Amino acid sequence: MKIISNIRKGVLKVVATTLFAAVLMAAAQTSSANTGAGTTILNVVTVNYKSPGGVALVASASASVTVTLVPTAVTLAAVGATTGATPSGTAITYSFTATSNANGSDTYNLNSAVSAAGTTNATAPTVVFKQGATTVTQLTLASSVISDVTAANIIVVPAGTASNLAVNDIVVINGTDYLVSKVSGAGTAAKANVGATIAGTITAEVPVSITLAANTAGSNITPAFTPSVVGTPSPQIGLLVAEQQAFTVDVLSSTVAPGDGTVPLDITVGGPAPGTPITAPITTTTTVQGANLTITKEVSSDGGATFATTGSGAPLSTLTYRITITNGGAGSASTVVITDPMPAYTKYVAGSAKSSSVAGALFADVANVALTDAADADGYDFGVTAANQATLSVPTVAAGATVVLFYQVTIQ
Amino acid sequence: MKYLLVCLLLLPSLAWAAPDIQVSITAEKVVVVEKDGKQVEKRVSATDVVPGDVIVYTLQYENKGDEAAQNVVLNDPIPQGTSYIVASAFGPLAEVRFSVDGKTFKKPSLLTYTVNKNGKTEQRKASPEQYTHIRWIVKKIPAGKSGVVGFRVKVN
Repeated sequence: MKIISNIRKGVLKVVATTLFAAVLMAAAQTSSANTGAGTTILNVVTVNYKSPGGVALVASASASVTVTLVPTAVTLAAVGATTGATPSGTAITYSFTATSNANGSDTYNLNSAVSAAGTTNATAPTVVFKQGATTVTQLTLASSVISDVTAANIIVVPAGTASNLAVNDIVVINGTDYLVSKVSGAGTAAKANVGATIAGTITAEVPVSITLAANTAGSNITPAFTPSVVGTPSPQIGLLVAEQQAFTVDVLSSTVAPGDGTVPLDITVGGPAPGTPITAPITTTTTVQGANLTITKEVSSDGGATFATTGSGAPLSTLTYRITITNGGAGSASTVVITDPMPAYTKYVAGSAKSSSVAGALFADVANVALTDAADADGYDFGVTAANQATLSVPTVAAGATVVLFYQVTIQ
Repeated sequence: MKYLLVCLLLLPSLAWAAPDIQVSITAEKVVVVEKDGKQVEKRVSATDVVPGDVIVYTLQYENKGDEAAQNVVLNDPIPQGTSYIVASAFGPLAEVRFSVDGKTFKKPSLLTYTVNKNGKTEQRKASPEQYTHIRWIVKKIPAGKSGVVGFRVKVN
């Protein structure tokens, strides 16, 4: 606690040395808690005295107080982009880290809410938090406060304060991340030995030693702390040893109208019980790429060589229709069904239907796919789905893709 | 039988002819509560605290013997993980002394520590946060009398 003492000493010289000043500083200190939750504060008093006859006598007593958790908001950070685009109906993943700022282990909820701006042309998103492949709803982050440094890579925390800290955890000390390579155990708290006829002594605590290594997946900085030597405590004493965990958020939404949608989603960590403060939100903005189908219908009176939106033909002559579906959106359209009832005064030419994926294809193109009038695997039927109607079902029309349907009728 | 009688007679007289100081510690924390629009301090029993809390340690002593105790010295190391709050030690009938090493006890104004600066040793006045021990000295506690001393610390 030397470093803290020195800081406070500096302040004390300026501030009047009254109890009031001390209390004020106590309030400010709460935000930078520097004793780990679970630490035992042990006070032992010994009274030595003499009888009138000069016999030396002794008695002792103790009081024990435990330091508890100060619930504190974590530091939430995005890893990589917080904006992205994904096809409608396909999830997009955002990555985050949460780092404890508390003086002990605590559990934090993972929360999401659509931002105040609201979604545009998109369904309410389905949000799934994950760590690796595992779905999670909370994070438990270990944390403690350095009470000593015994080697460049070994820090010490008070007994009972290293709960939930395990090998391979990532901890952040003074802004740098390290890998935990060894934890010595839970330690044992200091114990008072007192009584009515003995001098009070303290059985020293057995603290927890934590061995750290470079986090090769992160900063990759080798721990180089300053060990305490007699008379000079390590300057790292009082710093937090705060666990950091990574998590991901899968956001899934679909467009509700042609074109793209937008889903702004606020991610927060913390709360509710027992009053863990919640972080400020980090907003992810997802562009949901929707399909945008356009349809045109053209007619040809020259057997399918030239098409126009209007045409003319004598009775008993043949008209060739070309129906073109184009997906101008960034997302694919699924379960596309084209239905076309026969115009009045016309008669469908059986077996005349063809399809193409080339915009502007002509009826006679060899690449065209012939379609049968029966309801079968080609997705096209005539008169089966509905009487006197051509029906073409296409499972998927990808972004930018085109579907062309031809059929012929005879003018009555 | 005769010896036993003598012993029985002697035993109580030995027990009577001695001071018997008993000491106890209570730990309370200071909470600030709003009362009639004013911030007032209140003390509650401290079993657990959070960093920044102020703990008030009250040491009660009582002479339960039938003879006065003399040169009563109460020694209390400042608990690890806490810092002594300036001017908080009290002891109405006692002299209060502090130490920064657990060996030498002095009045605050006389308490110094040694630093090495550019090869020279300097004596500097110790600040309250550096105190490691408090000592109260009570010259005499008559039989049956009790008293209270104490101090405050801030949880680091």
